[in-house]
Amino acid sequence: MIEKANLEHNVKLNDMFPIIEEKLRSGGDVIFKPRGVSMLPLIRQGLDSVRVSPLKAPPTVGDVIFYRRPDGQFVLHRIIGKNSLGYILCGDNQWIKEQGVKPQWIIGLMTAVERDGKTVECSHPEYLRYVKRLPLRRFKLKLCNICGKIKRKILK
Amino acid sequence: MKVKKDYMLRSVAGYAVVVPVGEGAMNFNGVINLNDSGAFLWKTMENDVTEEQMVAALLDEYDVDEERANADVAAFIKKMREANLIDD
Repeated sequence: MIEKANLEHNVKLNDMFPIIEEKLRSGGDVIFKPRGVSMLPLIRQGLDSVRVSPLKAPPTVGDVIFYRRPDGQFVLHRIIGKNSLGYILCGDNQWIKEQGVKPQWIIGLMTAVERDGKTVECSHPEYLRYVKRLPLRRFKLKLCNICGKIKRKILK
Repeated sequence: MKVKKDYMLRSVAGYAVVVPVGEGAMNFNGVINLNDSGAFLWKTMENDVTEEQMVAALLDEYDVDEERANADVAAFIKKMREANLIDD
């Protein structure tokens, strides 16, 4: 007996990335809800969507890029620098940097965040103010991490 | 009735998924996937078909009795309508 004909909404986003990449490479925009907590507080898992667009020019510091690592993993993180090895990336909720992200790994650029039915373009002054405050946030995250390590060592 | 031209069936990572096509941004929130018989019925609906023709196609393709085929097709069409995927 056959399984009842059905349609559902249970596709894993990870499985959709090849189609997402295909759409971006053909010049179209995509909207999806990223997984993970590395881009908090900007992107809340399961709640906020991002619009990713094809690159029109090389990305610069402060841009959030969608890229694929050589191991096949898709990532959405922010450029915080560039050196001879490539781009330096970091999530907004992280302080450990990823070095050596090559331009050819980049598939698209985040151009908007959709939250609570509202679309915030990445050119919006409110968004740009948020980006400006990020170095301080990363410093605090790093400090908290060090304090936590010291505390754990003392209490051991 | 037939499936809307704004959507197409794609096979990815073992899923048969319905993806929006066209010029606008492709929205991956709430992507729809179909099981094997669902994908079969979708394909029949890529051409203009009646509910009776879909039942006949299902009976031809699968080892299923008519009563069950009627119920399955009716339920499938209902879900497709709810998802706004059908042009009448």
